[in-house]
Amino acid sequence: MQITIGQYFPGDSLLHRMDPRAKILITIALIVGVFLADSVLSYAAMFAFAFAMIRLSRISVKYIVKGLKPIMFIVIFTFVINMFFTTGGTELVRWRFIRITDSGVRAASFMALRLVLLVIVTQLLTLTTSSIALTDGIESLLKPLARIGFPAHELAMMMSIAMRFIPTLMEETDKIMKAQMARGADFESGSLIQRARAMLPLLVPLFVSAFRRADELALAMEARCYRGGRGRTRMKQLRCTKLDAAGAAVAAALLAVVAVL
Amino acid sequence: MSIIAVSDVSYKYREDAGEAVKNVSFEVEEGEFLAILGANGSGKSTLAKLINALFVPTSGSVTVCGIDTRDESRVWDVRAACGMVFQNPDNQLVATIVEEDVAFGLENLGVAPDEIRRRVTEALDAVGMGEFGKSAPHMLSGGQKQRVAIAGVLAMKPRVIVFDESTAMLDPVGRAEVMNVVRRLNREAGITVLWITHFMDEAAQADRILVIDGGSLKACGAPRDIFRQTALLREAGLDVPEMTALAQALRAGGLCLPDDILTVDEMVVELCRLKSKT
Repeated sequence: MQITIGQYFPGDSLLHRMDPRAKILITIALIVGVFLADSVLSYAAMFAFAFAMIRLSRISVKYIVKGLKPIMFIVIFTFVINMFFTTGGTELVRWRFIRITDSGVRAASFMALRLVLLVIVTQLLTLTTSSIALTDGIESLLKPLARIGFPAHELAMMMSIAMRFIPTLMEETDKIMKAQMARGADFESGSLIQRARAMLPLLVPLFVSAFRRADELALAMEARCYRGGRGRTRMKQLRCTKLDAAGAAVAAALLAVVAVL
Repeated sequence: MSIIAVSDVSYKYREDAGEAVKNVSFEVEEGEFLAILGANGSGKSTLAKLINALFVPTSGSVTVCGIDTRDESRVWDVRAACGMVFQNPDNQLVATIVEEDVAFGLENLGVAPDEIRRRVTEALDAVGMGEFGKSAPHMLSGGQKQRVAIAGVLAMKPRVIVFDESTAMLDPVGRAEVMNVVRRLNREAGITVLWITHFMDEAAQADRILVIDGGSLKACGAPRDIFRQTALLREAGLDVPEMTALAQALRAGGLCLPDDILTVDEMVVELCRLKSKT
C-alpha cells in the first residue's frame, strides 16, 4: 500500500517556496473552514480552492487521489453510518427497519466530503514541505509557548531525529527479520494472533539496538557542542515573504466566503 | 607547547569498577598524526572520550589547547577545539539532510546564518561531498556518511580531530576514502589527528604510534620502531604487519634483511637488492 500522507514531494512550485509557518497556519485555517462549511456552495468553493492549490503545487491530481485511497474505507463507513442514523427530513426509502431521509443523505455526503477535503489539505502541506522545514515551522510557531515552559525546541529536535532514524530502523528491522527467517522464523503464515506473536522476537532486538543508538547519538551530539536550544542559531532562516501574505489573504477570503455561504 | 597533554590519567567507569585507563601520560604536538593502537577492550575508546571532555579523568589531568578538561565552565571550548568522529556512521548523523547535519555543530555554537552556510559548503567540499549537500544520509554509503561526519566536525574549525575507530565499520573502499581525506586534512590544513584503531596498516601511516593494552601505555614511537617489537604487539593482542612478520621469519632463516619492513614494495626492493648481491 502506498501512503502519501506525510511524504515530501520535492519541487519548486509557489507552494513549495512558501514559509512553512504560513503553510501550517493556512492549513489550520482551512481545517476550520472545512468544519464551518455547511452548504453545497461552500463545499464547492472549498473544492475549487483545493483543486487550484493542487495545480499550483504542480503535483498531479492523480497522485493526490492515490493518497486518498487508504482513507476510502473510513469515508464510506462514515457515509453509511451518517446516512442510516440521521433522523428528520423527508423520507426517501423505507424498507423494514431501514429509513433513509434526505437530511441523512445530505449530512452523510457533507461528512464524506469533509474527510476528503481534510486529507487533501493536510496532504498538500506535507507534500510541499520537507520534514526539516516542517519541524522548523512548528518550533518557530510554538516558540512563544517556550516562555511558559513549553519545550518547543526539544519537541522539534525530537521530531526531526525521529524522522532521521525511520529509514535506519526500517533497514534494521528488515535485517533482523531476514536473520530470523534464515533460522526458520515464520512471519507470513498462521492466524493474526500467531503472526503478531512471531513479531515479538523481532521487537526485542530492535528496541535494544534503538536504545544503543540513542546512547551513541547523545554522545555524538554532546561532542558537537549540543546543549539545548538556548543560544542556538539556524542555518536556514525562516522568512515570510509577499507570497505568504498573499496566501494568507486568499485563505482568509475563502474562510469569509465559506462562513457567509 | 604541545596541543594535548595527558598526564598520569586514570579513569574508572564506576566507583567500584577497575580502571579502564591506568596512569597514562603522553603529549601530542600541533599538526601531528598520532595513532593510538590497541585491541578491543584495551581502553583506547575511553582514552578518546577523555580527550574531548566527554569523560573527566578520575585522577590526573588532560589539557587540550591549554584548557584543563576538568574546568566545567570551558567544556564547550574544549569540544569546539577538539572534534570527534565516532565508529558508527549511522549513529552520529542528526539531521535528515546532509548540509543540515554539517550545520548542526555550528548552530550549536551560535554562529551567524551566513557564516554557517559558507563554512558548510567549504567543509563539504573539503571532504569531497560537495554535490551531496541536499541528499538524505541514509541514501549514502558508509564511507560517504563518515565523510559527512568529518565535514560536520571540520566546519567547527577544530585544531584537533579524534577519530574513534572511524573506519571499523566500513568496507575497504570506504576505509580508503576516509583515510585519504583525513591524511589530506592533516597535511594541508595542519589539523592534529588522533587516529584510534586496531588496524595495523592504518597505524603505519601515522607519524607516531601509541600502543595501549589493559588501559596502560605499553609503547610509543615511530611506526617502524613499534612494528619491530613483534613480541610486544602479540602480547597486546595485535597483529604484526604481514611483511614485518615475513621479514623476521626470513631473518630467522638466515637471510640478511632489515627487521623493519612494512610494505610489500619495501619487501620487493630488499629482496631484489639481496638477489643482485648474490
